[in-house]
Amino acid sequence: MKNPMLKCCYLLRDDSIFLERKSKMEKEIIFEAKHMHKEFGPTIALKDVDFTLRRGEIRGLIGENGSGKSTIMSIASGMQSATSGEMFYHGKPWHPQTMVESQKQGISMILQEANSIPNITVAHNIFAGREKEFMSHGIFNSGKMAKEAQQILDSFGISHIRAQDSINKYSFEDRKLVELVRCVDENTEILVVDETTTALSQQGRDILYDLIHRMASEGKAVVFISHDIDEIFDQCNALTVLRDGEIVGTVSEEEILACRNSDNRKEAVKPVRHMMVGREMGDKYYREDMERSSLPETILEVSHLTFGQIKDFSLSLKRGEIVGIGGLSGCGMHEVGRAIFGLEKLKSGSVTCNNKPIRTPLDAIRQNMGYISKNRDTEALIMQGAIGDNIALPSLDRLSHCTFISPAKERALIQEQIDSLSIKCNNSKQYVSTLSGGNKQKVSFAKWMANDSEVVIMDCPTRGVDVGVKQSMYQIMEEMKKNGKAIIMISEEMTELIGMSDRLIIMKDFQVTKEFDRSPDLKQTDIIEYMI
Amino acid sequence: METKTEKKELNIRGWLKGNANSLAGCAGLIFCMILFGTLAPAIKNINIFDISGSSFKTIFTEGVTFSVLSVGAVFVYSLGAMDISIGAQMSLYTVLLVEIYNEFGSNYTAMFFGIFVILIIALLCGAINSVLASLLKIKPIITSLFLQFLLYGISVILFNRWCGDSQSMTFNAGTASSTTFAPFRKIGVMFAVLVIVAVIFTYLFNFTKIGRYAKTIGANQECARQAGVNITVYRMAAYLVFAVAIVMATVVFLANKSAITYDACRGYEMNIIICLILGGMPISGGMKSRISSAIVGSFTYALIDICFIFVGVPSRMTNLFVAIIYIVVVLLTCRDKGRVLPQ
Repeated sequence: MKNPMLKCCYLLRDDSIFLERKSKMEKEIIFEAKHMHKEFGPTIALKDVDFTLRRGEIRGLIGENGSGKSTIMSIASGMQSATSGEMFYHGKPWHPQTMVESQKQGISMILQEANSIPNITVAHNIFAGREKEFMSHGIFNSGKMAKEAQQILDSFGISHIRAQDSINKYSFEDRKLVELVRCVDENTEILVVDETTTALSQQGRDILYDLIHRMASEGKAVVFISHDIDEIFDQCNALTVLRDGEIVGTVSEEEILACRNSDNRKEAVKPVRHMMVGREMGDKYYREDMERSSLPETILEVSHLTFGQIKDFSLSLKRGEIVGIGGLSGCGMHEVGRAIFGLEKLKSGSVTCNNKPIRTPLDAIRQNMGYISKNRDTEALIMQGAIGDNIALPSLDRLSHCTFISPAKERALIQEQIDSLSIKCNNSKQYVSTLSGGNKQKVSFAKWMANDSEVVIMDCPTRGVDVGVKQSMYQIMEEMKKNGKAIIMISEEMTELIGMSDRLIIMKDFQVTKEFDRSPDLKQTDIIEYMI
Repeated sequence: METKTEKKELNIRGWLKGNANSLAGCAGLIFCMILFGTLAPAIKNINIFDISGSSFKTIFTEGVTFSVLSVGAVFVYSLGAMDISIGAQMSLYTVLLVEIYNEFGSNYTAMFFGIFVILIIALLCGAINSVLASLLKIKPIITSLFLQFLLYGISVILFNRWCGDSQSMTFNAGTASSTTFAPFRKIGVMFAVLVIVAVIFTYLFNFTKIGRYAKTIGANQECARQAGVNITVYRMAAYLVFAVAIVMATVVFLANKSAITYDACRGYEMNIIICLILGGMPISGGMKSRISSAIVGSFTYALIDICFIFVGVPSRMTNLFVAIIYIVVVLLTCRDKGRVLPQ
């Protein structure tokens, strides 16, 4: 027990299997980092970090956005180099120059961001960089590659993905699975899973969990980076907690087992949450009022929307109301959000905001609507753009007076949002790509807050953000509701939908299956039957 | 705890890193100025900084022509698009401008009428380039390739019709120096044109929606669309701004020529790409696009293009040297992609 705060919560459990694995684990350190230090310009991402990984470990890495979790492992896997410090792999000094080199040596990393190669087949994605294996006398055998790729896909239990198809055909979730297949082979000694599960369906998650447990049982090691504390405690056998680039605590397997078996897990994981954020978070997370409430005025009317596979979707949204739309990935809820904002071409039906028709995003913005895309890095933000440019983008129309965009007004608008949302940055000119996931998401929010949006469609607003940021996102939503703004929250997380929505619409197979009103009695189990 | 000085140092380091390409472009220009400013007097006794000298005027004229063109090109290139019809457009416009000037009395009215006609055609070409690409959902480079062939074809037909067997086309009044285009030959006027273009285009690029949206479209088109940007309209606006720059560059170019041919500006599209790259502008467009890159790169290219001859390199060899410098710049500034898996 490295952190005394945890002592009161965890008990040592006598478990023969555990002890056997533990002794095996303690035999060999597979990877070690000593005094690792990393700076990104003026930002210090890692401060003198010592990190050890042993065979058989599934080590969770947990911490707030920007705490340095991904940085440690991206250095270990050759994506970037450390400013100073040493690394050892199999006891030998380790200086990978590229991710490809690292993968060849046995350290693979599945990234949080989309990392598949577009416009080529699934097979080519799986064997990217290994095409030579299918060359014979200077002739490339694409059939052989496709056959082997399909065998691998089948062995992972994802036969619905066909090796010869273009990767473009598949959803983000399926592409992540292809990336997983690409990363892992028989040579993989250390697998780094960097906040990948939020992008996977339940089936995909199960495949990943099976894989990491199999690897651990074979004496390999896994580093599992996630913001989901429950998931970490369910899947990992060791845990390291980071805050502001430093390791602030570790949790042993005994402690994890004790917590896993605890009757009150919420209380049991509280010390870890405290370690992560460095302060008492309080119990307030979602809305505390449990009654449906809104102002009487209807602001948005969606009538009989029909497009793609969606048929006859209707919705009425009042000022000061939060409507949640939930369902399984692929149920059509994301498409509905896009259509309401004018991003989809409708076959029939209409969307009106303030009694004005919405046909394009420009119509929507002119009626003070906003849309936070679930694809943060590819659609919601300009990654190679300054924070300020991103925040001001939807407001440029409003800031422009006789063609002139006043830099002073723009600066003031940007700074106001950076301050009010506490975006951690050096200045507004810093590139968004250098921010952590949570701060990127805050920039997505800030874009529409700056434009004073009255209706905001939030598609997976808390995807890939830590508990601290989540809490502040919920507070912002509650504040918006109090100020008479209306929100459509689309999410795959039932807890947040129940916790925040006045009304909850459940979709399955592109149709609405049930609508629930806010109620203290509403449980996930009531909802699930309408989703599956 | 970090001290204030440390923080300031870190900020400076961050700024240097963020502006590395632009700074490299400026460093390249300074390097060329020092190199040729030293070599030319030593080898050929030519002072390239002597404002009254012909060498300075040659470099300056080319620098201004390329600057005006590439400043306009920044709008199109920041979209992530490419226009390879520039040379064909300028060639046709010079032929038309000379013919209209000769036919309509060789006076100011004829000059302004000629400029007006070519401006209309340039705007039309800009609209075709952008709208056609949007409607057909193809890359604008494809439509500009179509325009390149079309305009060179028209240029040849008109040239043959108006000049017959003659190899070149001239003003009736003699050389450009004896026409109403003469003021554009003066260094002071060219400098004024450059300053006015730089100021107006910088304003359009940084302080209006035309430039801001162009950069956004180039950086992330879907993000721009979701932020309410009308992609087709603002793409067209960028091409129209470029069309104005092409017309202005044509006037400066023509004023400094004694005779022209049907393909007087062949290859200018490639020169503009080199100017932008030498100035540190990413050819993929996006938020890092800068007007200053265009001007710095244009003068660097003008120096390289002309000063190699001043220092004794045969004119047939200059392209070879330009190619070497170009590839060196590309290798120095290209992003290190080896550290991540194939993207």
